[in-house]
Amino acid sequence: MTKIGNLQLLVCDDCGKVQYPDREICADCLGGTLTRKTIDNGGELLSWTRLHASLEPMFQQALPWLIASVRLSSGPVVVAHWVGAEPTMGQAVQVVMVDDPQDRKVLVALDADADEKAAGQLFVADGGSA
Amino acid sequence: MSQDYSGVALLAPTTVGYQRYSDHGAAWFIGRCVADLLAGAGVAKDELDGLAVSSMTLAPDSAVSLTEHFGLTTRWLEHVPMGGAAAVVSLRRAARAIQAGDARVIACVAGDTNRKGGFRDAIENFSVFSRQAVYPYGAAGPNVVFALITRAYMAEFGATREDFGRICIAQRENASHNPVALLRDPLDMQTYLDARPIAEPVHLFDCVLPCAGAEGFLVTSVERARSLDVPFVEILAVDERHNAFPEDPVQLRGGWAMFRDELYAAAGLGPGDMNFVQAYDDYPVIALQQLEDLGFCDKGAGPEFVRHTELTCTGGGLPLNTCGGQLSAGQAGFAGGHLGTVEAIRQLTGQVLGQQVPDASVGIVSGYGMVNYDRCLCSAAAILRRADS
Ligand SMILES: [Zn+2]
Repeated sequence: MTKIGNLQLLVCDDCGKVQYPDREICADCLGGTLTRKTIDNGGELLSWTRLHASLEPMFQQALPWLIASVRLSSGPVVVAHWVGAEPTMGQAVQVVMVDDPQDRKVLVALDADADEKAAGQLFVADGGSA
Repeated sequence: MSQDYSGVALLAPTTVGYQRYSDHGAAWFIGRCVADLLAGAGVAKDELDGLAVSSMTLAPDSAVSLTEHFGLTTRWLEHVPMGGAAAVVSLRRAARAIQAGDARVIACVAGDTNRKGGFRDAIENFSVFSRQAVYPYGAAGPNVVFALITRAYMAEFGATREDFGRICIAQRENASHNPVALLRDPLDMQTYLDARPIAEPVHLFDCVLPCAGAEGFLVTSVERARSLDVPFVEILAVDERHNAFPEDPVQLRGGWAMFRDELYAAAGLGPGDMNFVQAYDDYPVIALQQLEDLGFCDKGAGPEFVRHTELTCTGGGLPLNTCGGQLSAGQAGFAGGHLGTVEAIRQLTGQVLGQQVPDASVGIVSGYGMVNYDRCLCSAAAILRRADS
């Protein structure tokens, strides 16, 4: 079980727009000061894939692996691991953050009504994506 | 209205390779391509005073390093790290240099090697954004990005796997006549559909085969081309856009949709006048989007279009990727972006490696490159015409 973290992304100090992927310059106003903040973690599922081939052993051992893209209510599009049954296009989702086995903070998307604790099982053996 | 591109000639379409793997470096493929295209045009090495290079495996070297490596002294030099859009971007810049008199003979070359194991590093470190926000999600690089785009396109416009299959099968038929294509065996729909999944809905035959190779052509003045007495092509129109439609949540259209009306107007021609299309085909969904965004059918009508249009060289419809495209010839790194332009010049000058499109006098080539995060950022297109027609 991995600790579940709030969705924290960079927000522009000057214009308040949420930015993703992480960057040094705001794409809206070119502001140069961005601060990581907890933001609303709701969104809409844009697309998804079931992956069958990977370049890394960590995923190769766990294939197939579900991945989703989500448009957050705060604006940005994120690519995220998916936890749960096969997703449906357009469904309401929530996005949380966990540490992956390489200590990277990664995004996990799951159904809006699912228990977010499920995201903590993603990188536990046999508890991950299907 | 921009100045036209008259007085500029494209010639000496040149291909080096293709090999699945190579122990040579990118410089070898680029250098052999320069040698072959000079020989093909009958131009002495000393006359070459411009060079535009595109490569993903040349680092830490660049076009600068190659001048010393190849013993060239140039007065015009471009490094164009724009992947699938680099050929069209290079020819556009080179054309302006020729018109302005900044250079007399320019070689536009893309080349890459493919060493065993080299692919993983290239994928992981393709961009700062992808290293952070795509690679950790499955470690599969562009397959994930284009699977997401493909599924969204299918949901939005009713495309089926068979529609993508029609593109792959037609291009394989085109490749079957091209001796340098790596994949030449006939492909039928059942084999296409039965292929193993890579990143659903993307399956094996929707993916390009990474390989080593180079593609290049020369740009000079029409006057010099005539004196060389080699067949050449002229540029009727060319344009490019970068980071087009950033507000679209999923890339279901490319920058071509922003400039295609101006492009055709500048050429004085319409989509119906094109004898072929060379469309960037890293995945068939992108080729399909180009058919729409370049005006061959309405947005979203691509699936219906390919159900009713013959895409082979001699089918009488709209020949697409007439040498087989990257999906069948192989993707020699960034040379994959030059493949379509080189093939367009071949078709328009009667120098094909494979099958000739009958009576080809004008065609369109489009480029698409550089997946930085969740989409490719560069799109470009050129309308080319056989000279003296
Ligand atoms: Zn800002």
